[in-house]
Amino acid sequence: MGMESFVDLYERRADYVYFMCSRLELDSDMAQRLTQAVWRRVRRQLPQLAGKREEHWLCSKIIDVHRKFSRKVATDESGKVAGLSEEQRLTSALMRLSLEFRWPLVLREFAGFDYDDIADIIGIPEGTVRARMGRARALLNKYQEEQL
Amino acid sequence: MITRADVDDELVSAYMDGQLSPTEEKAVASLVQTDQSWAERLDAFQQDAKRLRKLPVQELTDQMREQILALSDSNLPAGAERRRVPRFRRRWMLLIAVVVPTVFTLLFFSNPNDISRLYLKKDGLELQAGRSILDEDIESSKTWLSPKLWGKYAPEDTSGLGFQVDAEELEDRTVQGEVEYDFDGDGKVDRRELYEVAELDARKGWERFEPELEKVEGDFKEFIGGEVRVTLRVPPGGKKNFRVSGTPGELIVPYRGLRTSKGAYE
Repeated sequence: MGMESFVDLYERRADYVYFMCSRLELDSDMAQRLTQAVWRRVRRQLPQLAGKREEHWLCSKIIDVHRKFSRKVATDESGKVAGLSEEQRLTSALMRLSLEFRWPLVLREFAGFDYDDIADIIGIPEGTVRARMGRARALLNKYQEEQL
Repeated sequence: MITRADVDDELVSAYMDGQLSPTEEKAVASLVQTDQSWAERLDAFQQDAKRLRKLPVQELTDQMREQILALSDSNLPAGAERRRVPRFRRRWMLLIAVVVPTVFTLLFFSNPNDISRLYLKKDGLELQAGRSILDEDIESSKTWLSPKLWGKYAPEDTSGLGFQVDAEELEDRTVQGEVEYDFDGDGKVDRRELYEVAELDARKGWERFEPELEKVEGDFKEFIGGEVRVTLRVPPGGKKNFRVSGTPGELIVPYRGLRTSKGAYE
């Protein structure tokens, strides 16, 4: 695929990729940096897209890049912060989730992938996805209650 | 057979997602209908999922869209703007995009003296390839400085950093490359490139890295007696000590006719 294919893909999927990145990193500056890194990867690896589902492939690139990206960015381990709105408690709880739990939750809730797709995208067994989804939801709920 | 004791957050969560086997689904359905605490647990999960999906969406602005596209190609200067063009014109642009780089590539390979690499040698960055005697233990960082350089910027050429390092059997070692350009020799950094962190394995043996650009500040310009500085360092918070070899460490720069005050080879 050449430049036109990349530009076409970008025009079609720029919003989708940014949306997913902004769910993994709620800080807009971080989300933008992640998005840039993802599109650099996509441009380089575009020939690999042939014959694959576009959203699935893009999400696997997002997770790959986020995996490297987040090694340099600490997970928000902040504890209780007073006076948060319900929405802030939810976003704060989401960012407190370690990546092993945040990835499957984000892929499920915001992209609607089934567990077998999530397993493929993250590169873990399907049973592990199921276990992590349960733990992710439990922790998300617990972290919000801690902020009350 | 699934008993009440077997049911946990994992099963309730998978039930909510419709990802259980028929047997499991039947067991969990029965449980949430008869056990108030599990019904509340399922409801809490469902409410969280609903609220997650209702979180406000950050819009990608036109400016961000253009910037991301420009930065997705590390050869393009940051902030470069892309004009929207009709499809039929894009076909012509595609043709040009294929033909022009091909011609330049042919020209480049037909002229081996057209240097666009700076090699990481023991005493600094050098235009001349050849055998490097660099093999050095680095505690936290090492910087290579080029001689004064002159050269014409070739935006169609590629750029990148490649280096060879080893941490022997030390674990969790990382190295990050930074390149600073001072194009006119006034002592001020005109362009700074930060490359992604390279993770070294804990096995003895050189590892070659060609990391991607993580951050760029400033644009390329003509070299008029300027300098390049390459630094390999342990990133903040990283563990110290690694070894570096100059074979085949190099900085590829998008310049034609790059030379020092003494000529193309110093």
